Amino acid sequence: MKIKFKNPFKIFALFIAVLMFSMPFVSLCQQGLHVEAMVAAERDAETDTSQLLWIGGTFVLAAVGGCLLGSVGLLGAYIYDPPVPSHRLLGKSPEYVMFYTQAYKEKVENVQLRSSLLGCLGGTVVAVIRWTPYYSQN
Amino acid sequence: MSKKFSITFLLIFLIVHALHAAPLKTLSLNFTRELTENNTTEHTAGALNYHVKTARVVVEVTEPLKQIMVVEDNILEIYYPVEQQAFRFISQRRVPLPFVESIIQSTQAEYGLTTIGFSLDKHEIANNVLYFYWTPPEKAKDKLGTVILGMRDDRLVSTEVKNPKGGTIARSQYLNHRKVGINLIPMTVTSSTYGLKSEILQHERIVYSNPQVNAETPNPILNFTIPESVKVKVVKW
Repeated sequence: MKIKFKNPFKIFALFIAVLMFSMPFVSLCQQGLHVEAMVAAERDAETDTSQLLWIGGTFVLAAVGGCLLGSVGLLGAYIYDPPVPSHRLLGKSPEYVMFYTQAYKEKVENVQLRSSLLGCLGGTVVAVIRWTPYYSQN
Repeated sequence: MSKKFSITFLLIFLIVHALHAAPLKTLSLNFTRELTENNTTEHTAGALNYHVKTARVVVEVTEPLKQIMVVEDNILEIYYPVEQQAFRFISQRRVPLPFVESIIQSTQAEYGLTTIGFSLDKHEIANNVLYFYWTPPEKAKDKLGTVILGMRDDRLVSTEVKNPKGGTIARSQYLNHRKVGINLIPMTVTSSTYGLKSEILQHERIVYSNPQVNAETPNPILNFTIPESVKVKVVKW
Protein backbone atom coordinates (compact mmCIF):
# COMPACT_ATOMS: atom_id res chain seq x y z
CA MET A 1 0.00 0.00 0.00
CA LYS A 2 1.39 3.35 -0.96
CA ILE A 3 0.56 6.32 1.21
CA LYS A 4 0.72 9.69 -0.39
CA PHE A 5 1.13 12.80 1.70
CA LYS A 6 0.26 15.71 -0.42
CA ASN A 7 -1.19 17.75 2.40
CA PRO A 8 1.58 19.53 4.38
CA PHE A 9 -0.62 19.40 7.46
CA LYS A 10 -0.66 15.57 7.36
CA ILE A 11 3.10 15.48 7.07
CA PHE A 12 3.39 17.82 10.01
CA ALA A 13 0.91 15.75 12.05
CA LEU A 14 2.84 12.56 11.30
CA PHE A 15 6.09 14.23 12.30
CA ILE A 16 4.59 15.38 15.62
CA ALA A 17 3.17 11.89 16.26
CA VAL A 18 6.54 10.22 15.64
CA LEU A 19 8.21 12.77 17.88
CA MET A 20 5.69 12.26 20.68
CA PHE A 21 5.96 8.49 20.64
CA SER A 22 9.75 8.41 20.34
CA MET A 23 10.39 10.75 23.27
CA PRO A 24 9.53 8.23 26.02
CA PHE A 25 11.77 5.64 24.36
CA VAL A 26 14.69 8.05 24.24
CA SER A 27 14.10 8.88 27.88
CA LEU A 28 13.89 5.16 28.73
CA CYS A 29 17.21 4.51 26.96
CA GLN A 30 18.82 7.37 28.84
CA GLN A 31 17.56 5.96 32.13
CA GLY A 32 18.92 2.52 31.24
CA LEU A 33 22.30 4.00 30.43
CA HIS A 34 22.26 6.03 33.63
CA VAL A 35 21.57 2.91 35.71
CA GLU A 36 24.23 0.89 33.84
CA ALA A 37 26.87 3.59 34.33
CA MET A 38 25.94 4.09 37.96
CA VAL A 39 26.07 0.37 38.80
CA ALA A 40 29.47 0.01 37.09
CA ALA A 41 30.83 3.16 38.73
CA GLU A 42 29.75 2.12 42.21
CA ARG A 43 31.18 -1.36 41.77
CA ASP A 44 34.50 0.00 40.47
CA ALA A 45 34.69 2.62 43.21
CA GLU A 46 34.23 -0.08 45.87
CA THR A 47 36.99 -2.17 44.27
CA ASP A 48 39.39 0.73 43.76
CA THR A 49 39.08 2.17 47.26
CA SER A 50 41.19 0.58 49.93
CA GLN A 51 38.71 0.55 52.80
CA LEU A 52 41.13 -1.19 55.16
CA LEU A 53 43.71 1.51 54.56
CA TRP A 54 41.23 4.29 55.39
CA ILE A 55 39.86 2.49 58.46
CA GLY A 56 43.35 1.58 59.70
CA GLY A 57 44.90 4.98 59.03
CA THR A 58 42.16 6.95 60.75
CA PHE A 59 41.98 4.41 63.59
CA VAL A 60 45.68 4.90 64.36
CA LEU A 61 45.38 8.69 64.18
CA ALA A 62 42.33 8.74 66.45
CA ALA A 63 43.82 6.21 68.88
CA VAL A 64 46.90 8.38 69.27
CA GLY A 65 45.34 11.83 69.23
CA GLY A 66 41.61 11.29 69.81
CA CYS A 67 39.03 13.19 67.77
CA LEU A 68 41.48 15.93 66.87
CA LEU A 69 43.88 13.72 64.91
CA GLY A 70 41.02 11.47 63.80
CA SER A 71 39.41 14.43 62.09
CA VAL A 72 42.59 14.88 60.05
CA GLY A 73 41.92 11.41 58.61
CA LEU A 74 38.33 12.39 57.90
CA LEU A 75 39.50 15.53 56.13
CA GLY A 76 41.93 13.45 54.07
CA ALA A 77 39.11 11.12 53.07
CA TYR A 78 37.07 14.10 51.95
CA ILE A 79 39.90 15.71 49.96
CA TYR A 80 41.62 12.69 48.40
CA ASP A 81 40.42 11.49 45.00
CA PRO A 82 41.87 8.49 43.18
CA PRO A 83 43.10 8.99 39.58
CA VAL A 84 40.51 9.24 36.80
CA PRO A 85 39.92 5.65 35.61
CA SER A 86 40.66 6.53 31.96
CA HIS A 87 40.73 2.94 30.69
CA ARG A 88 37.13 2.43 31.82
CA LEU A 89 35.94 5.32 29.67
CA LEU A 90 37.37 3.98 26.40
CA GLY A 91 34.68 3.46 23.80
CA LYS A 92 31.95 4.84 26.04
CA SER A 93 29.38 7.41 24.97
CA PRO A 94 29.44 10.99 26.31
CA GLU A 95 26.32 10.30 28.39
CA TYR A 96 27.89 7.21 29.92
CA VAL A 97 31.11 9.11 30.69
CA MET A 98 29.12 11.86 32.39
CA PHE A 99 26.99 9.50 34.50
CA TYR A 100 29.89 7.17 35.30
CA THR A 101 32.40 9.78 36.45
CA GLN A 102 29.81 11.57 38.57
CA ALA A 103 28.71 8.36 40.29
CA TYR A 104 32.30 7.09 40.65
CA LYS A 105 33.54 10.26 42.35
CA GLU A 106 30.56 10.34 44.72
CA LYS A 107 30.91 6.69 45.63
CA VAL A 108 34.66 6.93 46.26
CA GLU A 109 34.13 9.90 48.58
CA ASN A 110 31.31 8.04 50.27
CA VAL A 111 33.36 4.86 50.84
CA GLN A 112 36.40 6.82 52.03
CA LEU A 113 34.36 8.92 54.44
CA ARG A 114 32.45 5.90 55.75
CA SER A 115 35.66 3.92 56.28
CA SER A 116 37.55 6.76 57.93
CA LEU A 117 34.55 7.56 60.14
CA LEU A 118 34.54 3.94 61.31
CA GLY A 119 38.27 4.10 61.99
CA CYS A 120 37.90 7.45 63.76
CA LEU A 121 35.13 6.17 66.02
CA GLY A 122 37.05 3.01 66.87
CA GLY A 123 40.25 4.94 67.49
CA THR A 124 38.48 7.48 69.69
CA VAL A 125 36.97 4.68 71.80
CA VAL A 126 40.46 3.21 72.24
CA ALA A 127 41.84 6.64 73.14
CA VAL A 128 39.08 7.19 75.72
CA ILE A 129 39.63 3.75 77.31
CA ARG A 130 43.37 4.35 77.37
CA TRP A 131 43.39 7.84 78.83
CA THR A 132 40.37 7.78 81.20
CA PRO A 133 42.22 5.97 84.07
CA TYR A 134 45.14 8.39 83.68
CA TYR A 135 42.96 11.47 83.97
CA SER A 136 40.75 10.01 86.73
CA GLN A 137 43.91 9.36 88.85
CA ASN A 138 45.12 12.91 88.40
CA MET B 1 42.15 -4.87 50.42
CA SER B 2 41.76 -3.38 46.98
CA LYS B 3 43.31 -5.46 44.26
CA LYS B 4 43.27 -2.68 41.69
CA PHE B 5 44.87 -0.32 44.19
CA SER B 6 47.74 -2.75 44.62
CA ILE B 7 48.17 -3.16 40.87
CA THR B 8 48.01 0.59 40.34
CA PHE B 9 50.60 1.03 43.09
CA LEU B 10 52.93 -1.35 41.30
CA LEU B 11 52.24 0.10 37.87
CA ILE B 12 52.90 3.70 38.90
CA PHE B 13 56.38 2.82 40.10
CA LEU B 14 57.04 0.64 37.09
CA ILE B 15 55.99 3.19 34.52
CA VAL B 16 58.10 5.92 36.08
CA HIS B 17 61.13 3.70 35.79
CA ALA B 18 60.16 2.48 32.35
CA LEU B 19 59.69 5.95 30.94
CA HIS B 20 63.24 6.88 31.80
CA ALA B 21 64.84 3.64 30.69
CA ALA B 22 62.92 2.95 27.49
CA PRO B 23 64.69 3.65 24.17
CA LEU B 24 61.31 4.40 22.64
CA LYS B 25 60.49 7.86 21.32
CA THR B 26 57.12 7.28 19.72
CA LEU B 27 54.93 4.24 19.45
CA SER B 28 51.83 3.69 17.35
CA LEU B 29 49.69 0.57 17.30
CA ASN B 30 46.27 -0.50 16.20
CA PHE B 31 44.33 -2.45 18.78
CA THR B 32 41.23 -4.46 19.43
CA ARG B 33 40.12 -5.06 22.97
CA GLU B 34 37.67 -7.57 24.39
CA LEU B 35 36.68 -6.92 27.96
CA THR B 36 34.58 -9.55 29.71
CA GLU B 37 32.99 -8.64 33.00
CA ASN B 38 29.78 -9.84 34.62
CA ASN B 39 29.06 -12.17 31.68
CA THR B 40 29.10 -9.36 29.15
CA THR B 41 31.82 -8.73 26.59
CA GLU B 42 32.62 -5.33 25.18
CA HIS B 43 34.58 -4.87 21.96
CA THR B 44 36.65 -1.79 21.36
CA ALA B 45 38.92 -1.03 18.41
CA GLY B 46 41.16 1.85 17.50
CA ALA B 47 44.71 3.14 17.41
CA LEU B 48 47.11 3.96 20.19
CA ASN B 49 49.72 6.69 19.81
CA TYR B 50 52.32 7.33 22.46
CA HIS B 51 54.97 10.02 22.73
CA VAL B 52 57.51 9.05 25.38
CA LYS B 53 59.18 12.42 26.04
CA THR B 54 55.95 14.20 26.81
CA ALA B 55 54.32 11.04 28.24
CA ARG B 56 51.35 11.86 26.04
CA VAL B 57 48.96 9.16 24.88
CA VAL B 58 46.35 9.69 22.20
CA VAL B 59 43.87 6.86 21.74
CA GLU B 60 41.67 7.07 18.69
CA VAL B 61 38.67 4.77 19.14
CA THR B 62 36.82 3.73 15.99
CA GLU B 63 34.51 1.07 17.45
CA PRO B 64 31.93 0.96 19.00
CA LEU B 65 31.91 4.74 18.50
CA LYS B 66 34.23 7.54 17.39
CA GLN B 67 36.20 8.89 20.32
CA ILE B 68 39.58 10.51 20.84
CA MET B 69 41.14 10.23 24.27
CA VAL B 70 44.20 12.30 25.17
CA VAL B 71 46.10 11.63 28.38
CA GLU B 72 48.96 13.85 29.45
CA ASP B 73 50.21 14.24 32.99
CA ASN B 74 47.18 15.06 35.16
CA ILE B 75 44.79 15.91 32.34
CA LEU B 76 42.45 13.58 30.52
CA GLU B 77 40.54 14.87 27.51
CA ILE B 78 37.82 12.95 25.71
CA TYR B 79 36.49 14.23 22.41
CA TYR B 80 33.53 12.93 20.39
CA PRO B 81 33.88 14.12 16.77
CA VAL B 82 30.40 12.96 15.75
CA GLU B 83 28.52 14.35 18.72
CA GLN B 84 30.82 17.41 18.89
CA GLN B 85 31.14 17.02 22.64
CA ALA B 86 34.22 17.01 24.85
CA PHE B 87 35.32 16.50 28.43
CA ARG B 88 38.43 17.72 30.20
CA PHE B 89 39.21 16.05 33.52
CA ILE B 90 41.77 17.91 35.59
CA SER B 91 43.05 15.49 38.18
CA GLN B 92 45.09 16.11 41.33
CA ARG B 93 47.58 13.49 40.20
CA ARG B 94 48.90 11.80 37.07
CA VAL B 95 46.27 10.01 35.01
CA PRO B 96 47.25 6.38 34.22
CA LEU B 97 48.17 5.93 30.56
CA PRO B 98 45.76 3.46 28.96
CA PHE B 99 47.43 0.37 27.37
CA VAL B 100 50.92 1.86 27.52
CA GLU B 101 51.89 0.51 30.92
CA SER B 102 51.66 -3.14 29.96
CA ILE B 103 53.50 -2.63 26.65
CA ILE B 104 56.36 -0.64 28.14
CA GLN B 105 56.77 -2.98 31.08
CA SER B 106 57.05 -5.98 28.81
CA THR B 107 60.05 -4.41 27.07
CA GLN B 108 61.93 -3.80 30.32
CA ALA B 109 64.46 -6.21 31.77
CA GLU B 110 63.28 -7.38 35.19
CA TYR B 111 60.34 -5.01 34.82
CA GLY B 112 62.43 -2.45 36.69
CA LEU B 113 61.56 -4.25 39.90
CA THR B 114 65.06 -3.90 41.41
CA THR B 115 64.94 -0.14 41.05
CA ILE B 116 61.72 0.13 43.05
CA GLY B 117 63.04 -2.02 45.89
CA PHE B 118 61.92 -5.53 44.94
CA SER B 119 64.40 -8.30 45.64
CA LEU B 120 64.82 -11.53 43.75
CA ASP B 121 63.81 -14.35 46.05
CA LYS B 122 64.24 -17.44 43.88
CA HIS B 123 63.88 -18.80 40.38
CA GLU B 124 62.78 -22.08 38.85
CA ILE B 125 62.21 -23.61 35.44
CA ALA B 126 58.95 -25.25 34.46
CA ASN B 127 57.77 -26.12 30.95
CA ASN B 128 60.69 -24.26 29.36
CA VAL B 129 59.70 -21.08 31.17
CA LEU B 130 62.09 -19.48 33.64
CA TYR B 131 60.12 -18.07 36.56
CA PHE B 132 61.53 -15.31 38.77
CA TYR B 133 59.97 -14.73 42.20
CA TRP B 134 60.26 -11.14 43.39
CA THR B 135 59.58 -10.03 46.95
CA PRO B 136 58.19 -6.50 47.44
CA PRO B 137 59.95 -3.88 49.59
CA GLU B 138 58.90 -3.66 53.26
CA LYS B 139 56.79 -0.55 52.73
CA ALA B 140 54.65 -2.32 50.12
CA LYS B 141 54.33 -5.67 51.88
CA ASP B 142 50.94 -4.83 53.41
CA LYS B 143 49.48 -4.36 49.93
CA LEU B 144 51.50 -6.65 47.68
CA GLY B 145 52.79 -10.18 47.78
CA THR B 146 55.20 -11.93 45.44
CA VAL B 147 55.44 -10.88 41.82
CA ILE B 148 56.27 -13.76 39.48
CA LEU B 149 57.75 -13.06 36.06
CA GLY B 150 57.90 -15.79 33.43
CA MET B 151 60.63 -15.52 30.76
CA ARG B 152 61.15 -17.62 27.66
CA ASP B 153 63.82 -16.93 25.00
CA ASP B 154 64.70 -13.67 26.76
CA ARG B 155 61.21 -12.32 26.47
CA LEU B 156 58.60 -11.76 29.12
CA VAL B 157 55.72 -14.18 28.63
CA SER B 158 53.77 -13.91 31.88
CA THR B 159 53.34 -11.93 35.06
CA GLU B 160 51.48 -12.82 38.20
CA VAL B 161 50.84 -10.50 41.13
CA LYS B 162 49.93 -12.04 44.46
CA ASN B 163 48.44 -10.48 47.57
CA PRO B 164 50.26 -10.63 50.93
CA LYS B 165 48.38 -13.85 51.78
CA GLY B 166 49.58 -15.58 48.61
CA GLY B 167 46.34 -15.39 46.62
CA THR B 168 46.52 -14.30 43.00
CA ILE B 169 45.36 -10.74 42.36
CA ALA B 170 46.13 -10.53 38.67
CA ARG B 171 47.69 -12.62 35.95
CA SER B 172 48.82 -11.51 32.49
CA GLN B 173 50.17 -13.32 29.47
CA TYR B 174 52.24 -11.75 26.72
CA LEU B 175 52.09 -13.58 23.42
CA ASN B 176 53.13 -13.24 19.77
CA HIS B 177 56.14 -11.01 20.36
CA ARG B 178 57.31 -9.00 17.41
CA LYS B 179 60.63 -7.24 17.01
CA VAL B 180 59.87 -3.59 16.44
CA GLY B 181 63.05 -1.52 16.30
CA ILE B 182 65.12 -2.79 19.21
CA ASN B 183 62.05 -3.73 21.25
CA LEU B 184 60.20 -7.00 21.47
CA ILE B 185 56.57 -6.01 21.72
CA PRO B 186 53.89 -8.56 22.63
CA MET B 187 51.12 -8.31 20.06
CA THR B 188 48.61 -10.13 22.27
CA VAL B 189 48.13 -9.37 25.94
CA THR B 190 45.58 -11.18 28.07
CA SER B 191 44.94 -10.17 31.66
CA SER B 192 42.64 -11.45 34.36
CA THR B 193 41.91 -10.05 37.77
CA TYR B 194 40.77 -12.36 40.54
CA GLY B 195 38.49 -12.08 43.57
CA LEU B 196 39.03 -13.39 47.08
CA LYS B 197 37.71 -16.84 46.13
CA SER B 198 39.99 -16.95 43.07
CA GLU B 199 37.03 -16.22 40.82
CA ILE B 200 37.74 -14.19 37.68
CA LEU B 201 36.40 -10.68 38.11
CA GLN B 202 37.49 -9.34 34.77
CA HIS B 203 39.17 -10.72 31.69
CA GLU B 204 40.74 -8.56 29.04
CA ARG B 205 42.28 -9.54 25.73
CA ILE B 206 44.09 -6.94 23.67
CA VAL B 207 45.44 -7.69 20.21
CA TYR B 208 47.82 -5.16 18.69
CA SER B 209 48.70 -4.80 15.04
CA ASN B 210 50.63 -2.53 12.67
CA PRO B 211 53.24 -1.45 15.23
CA GLN B 212 55.41 1.55 14.43
CA VAL B 213 58.22 2.65 16.69
CA ASN B 214 60.11 5.96 16.44
CA ALA B 215 58.49 6.82 13.13
CA GLU B 216 60.36 9.56 11.24
CA THR B 217 57.14 11.47 10.82
CA PRO B 218 55.08 10.81 13.93
CA ASN B 219 51.35 10.51 13.50
CA PRO B 220 49.91 14.06 13.51
CA ILE B 221 47.20 12.87 15.89
CA LEU B 222 49.85 12.99 18.64
CA ASN B 223 49.42 16.77 18.53
CA PHE B 224 45.64 16.57 18.58
CA THR B 225 43.76 19.32 20.39
CA ILE B 226 40.03 19.68 20.78
CA PRO B 227 38.65 22.12 18.17
CA GLU B 228 37.94 25.54 19.62
CA SER B 229 34.38 25.44 18.29
CA VAL B 230 33.55 22.55 20.64
CA LYS B 231 32.30 23.39 24.11
CA VAL B 232 34.38 21.45 26.64
CA LYS B 233 32.87 20.25 29.90
CA VAL B 234 35.61 20.74 32.48
CA VAL B 235 35.57 18.42 35.47
CA LYS B 236 37.89 19.11 38.41
CA TRP B 237 38.80 15.70 39.75
